[in-house]
Amino acid sequence: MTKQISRRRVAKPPVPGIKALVTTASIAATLGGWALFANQNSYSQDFLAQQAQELSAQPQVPALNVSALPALDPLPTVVPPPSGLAGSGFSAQIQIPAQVPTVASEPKTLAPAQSLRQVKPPAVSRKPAPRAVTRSSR
Amino acid sequence: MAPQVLQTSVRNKITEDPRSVLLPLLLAVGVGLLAAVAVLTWWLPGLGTSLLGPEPKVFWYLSRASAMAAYLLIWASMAFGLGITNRLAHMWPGAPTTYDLHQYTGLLGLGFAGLHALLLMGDRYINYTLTQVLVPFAGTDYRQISVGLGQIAIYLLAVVGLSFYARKQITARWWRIVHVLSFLVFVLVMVHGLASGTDSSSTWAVALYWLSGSSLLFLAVYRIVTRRYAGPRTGTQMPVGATVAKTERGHGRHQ
Repeated sequence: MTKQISRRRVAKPPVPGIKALVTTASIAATLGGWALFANQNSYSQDFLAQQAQELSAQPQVPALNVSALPALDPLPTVVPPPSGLAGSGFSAQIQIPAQVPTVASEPKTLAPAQSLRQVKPPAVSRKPAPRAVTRSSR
Repeated sequence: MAPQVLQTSVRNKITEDPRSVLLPLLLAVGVGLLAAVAVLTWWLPGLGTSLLGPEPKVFWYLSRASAMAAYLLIWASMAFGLGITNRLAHMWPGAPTTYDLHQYTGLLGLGFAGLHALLLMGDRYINYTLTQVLVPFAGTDYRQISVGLGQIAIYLLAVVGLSFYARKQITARWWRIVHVLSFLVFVLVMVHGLASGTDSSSTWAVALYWLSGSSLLFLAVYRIVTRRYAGPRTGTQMPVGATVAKTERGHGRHQ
């Protein structure tokens, strides 16, 4: 006598191993992501700090050595030279007009000062200073 | 003893034997500890700064990472679900296992998505309140529209995920309608991630979005094509153990 084997398909057991694996992988991805993002940020901060240090370590602009500059002729001008330069050769090149031109007609009288428009100064903004933290710096 | 019965009994014996689970678990813990010791020395400065620095960003980093984990879990749930309906899962690992994983990854994805949202309350930059986290479009400080779409996606995902437990109470038609919502959930999640994700412009994130989106598109198209060529369904698509009974109104009800 043989026992009749049921042809009905037996439900497979659940998959606790795979479920545990998926859960562990998700938690690991979250914690690993935290570590990676934190590390990336610290690298970028280190990089910025290094750049700032390099900039500060660079030599300053050297002082201007006046004696090394080439001697150039003075530019012509209609304005009389300062009194200190009167004795120098600088004044020889300036054409000072001999006679001051006279004004042909008297200028019209100006409007009274009361008609001037009152100008208000711009209002000072009382907003708080903008925050230094930006999204890109995060 | 017939081979089939023998096979089943051996399989059950292996599953019930705790040593079969314990040994790989211990091995995994050991490997994990070794990896942690090797990697933590490199990662510790960054972790320390994010926890104890002048501007602690631990909540922000954890929120971003949990969002990625949630996205992958939702994608896996979708892929498993499509694998059941297009019968690819019948080849491997089998419909019941795939169904189990489909449900589990969906609920786990919902959990991680909730964690992602709640963690934002701890971030000092975004500084969301509980109301802003719970109510869609309530947070106006940061990309209101795309964040709101993500919030709606979580609620829809909750409806889809919890429908597994209400399966006996709803008809097959409603079950299908609710499950079609999962496509909308995935699209909303993707739009949310692309529009408001900090890492969306990075190469790895772009590759992730392309791979996940295209793989689901392939599975969906494959399902449509196989259905068209297979003709009308002759049996149930439900996994083993779930039978279909006719209700008085003629709708199939899964039991």
